[in-house]
Amino acid sequence: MKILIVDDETPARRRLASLVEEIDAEFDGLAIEIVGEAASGLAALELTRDRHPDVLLLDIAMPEVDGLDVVRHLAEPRPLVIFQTAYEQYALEAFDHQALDYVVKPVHKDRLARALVRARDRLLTMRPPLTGSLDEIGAALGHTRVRPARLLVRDGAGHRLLAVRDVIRFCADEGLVRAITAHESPVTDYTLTELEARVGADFVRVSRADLVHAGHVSRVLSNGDGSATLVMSDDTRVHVSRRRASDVRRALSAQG
Amino acid sequence: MWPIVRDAFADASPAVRSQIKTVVAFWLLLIVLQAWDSRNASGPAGVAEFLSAVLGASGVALLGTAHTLQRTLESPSGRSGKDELAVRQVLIALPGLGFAAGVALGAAAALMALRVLLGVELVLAVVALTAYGAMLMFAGRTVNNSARTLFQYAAAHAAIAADARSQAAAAQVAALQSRMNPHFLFNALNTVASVVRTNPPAAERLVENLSDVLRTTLRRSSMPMSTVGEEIDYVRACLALEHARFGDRLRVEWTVDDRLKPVALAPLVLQPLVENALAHGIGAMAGGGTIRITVAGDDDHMILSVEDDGPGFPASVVEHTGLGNLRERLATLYGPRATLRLESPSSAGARVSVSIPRR
Repeated sequence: MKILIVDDETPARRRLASLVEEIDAEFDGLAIEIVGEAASGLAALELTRDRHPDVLLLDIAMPEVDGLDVVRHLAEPRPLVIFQTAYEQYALEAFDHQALDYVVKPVHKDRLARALVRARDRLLTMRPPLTGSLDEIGAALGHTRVRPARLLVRDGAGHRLLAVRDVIRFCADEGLVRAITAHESPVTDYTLTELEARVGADFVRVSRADLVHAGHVSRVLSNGDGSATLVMSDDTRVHVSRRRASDVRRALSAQG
Repeated sequence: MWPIVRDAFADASPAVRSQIKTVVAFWLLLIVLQAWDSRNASGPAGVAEFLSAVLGASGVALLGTAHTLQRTLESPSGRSGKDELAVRQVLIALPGLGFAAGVALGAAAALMALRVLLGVELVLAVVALTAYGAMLMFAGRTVNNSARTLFQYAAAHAAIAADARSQAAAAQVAALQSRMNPHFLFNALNTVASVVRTNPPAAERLVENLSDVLRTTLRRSSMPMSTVGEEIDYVRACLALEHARFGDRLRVEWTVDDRLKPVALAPLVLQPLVENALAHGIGAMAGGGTIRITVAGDDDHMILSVEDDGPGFPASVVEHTGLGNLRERLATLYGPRATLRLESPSSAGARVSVSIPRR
């Protein structure tokens, strides 16, 4: 069973690694191999792609790319995930049926051993599909999501980080969501609705297909039919639907 | 009971005082007149007439006093001018006065009834008996009303006290919770568990720091005020724990005007600012960042500010964090002269500053 340890705190990674090694020595048949340690969400995605771990021991609270973002971007076949959380909010029976498990920090060796044995059993039988919303799982694990300075976008077969403040707008086009900056327009795996929740109040949803950065709007032009057109900092024009026009004006004036 | 009546009399408005004086003068006049009238009376009827008159007049005077005292309570100016203790004393005295008046009037009525039985000056006796009876009923009503007022007052006060207690308890819990942030506590314990294998001396220092933080937290929850210096020490202990977690990713720069250290400051003012910078600033940056903590001031104001070089945050996010809570507490503690300001240039970084009047 190949394990990848993901935690942004060095002492925590070191302790997990030694706990896992002790558990491997004490339990027959786990045959654990630690294939790597990742100090960030992005590194976790890269190492998962390169080394194909069976199980991620994944810290949920990490800067920029948190544990939920990592799960959101895992490619199939996805590894089993054991979240580490400092503080759980609810009793989590729901996790028994999920492709996910969790341990609370500081991690008890017994509890971690149980989670690893359960993961081994699941790998032997089948990998249950991921059900339920990641946001609900995050809330259950007491995780407060922080607005990230950078976001995951696709980069070849993998991902990289793009500074949110450089994004002029996100736009959905033929099933792909692109982050449009002055120089490039990489694809992101998030939906516009997810992005709206993730990047916060600097962005305004102006139509079904566009989420624009309020700071990059240069002018608002009124059309005769009640809809509006935004002129962005890169001189592109974005249509604001009639239904959203008044909301958008209000949001833009609130941004000053 | 006499001191209560005397104090209430001293507290009463001039109008009420003159009323009471009139009643007492009327009482004395009545006794003198009655004594004059019955100077020639003899036998049981004469004695009964004299006693009845004295008792009746006393009852009327007592009733008048009770009535005027009650009015001093009911008039808003009278009530607000008094301290709570005086109000309470008057409330307790009222049923007693009413009861004494009732006893005097009842005895007077009984003596008059005796005179009716004796058949002397029958018409006069019947009229007096009726008058005493009416006043006896009035005395009963006074006792009844004042007892009810006393009960309502006690009930209202119990409710107010319970309310104040629950509010104080809620404020204490809120203060305690924001310090005893479970994420902070469990993260600190996790760091200790991690470091204890690799670096036992460092783990020892972490446990000391954590103990300091918890001890200060528990002590502060029962103390309304602390000082700038204590708050700084507390934040330093918190940051030492965070340092162990984040390592080089967390850089802290302090600029403190040492002259301000002894100045009184409500606890939990600087700490939420730092916690906010950690969560929304450094916590959002994979590469880490720098927190600048500044404590400065002049004769009128003291300014505590915390600056980070994180992604900045929109104002709408802030009210959901500990900062919203802090804003409310500042308003309660210092009024409108205390301000909490957020500056978040859209490019990068955020600065939160609190300005507190130095009285």
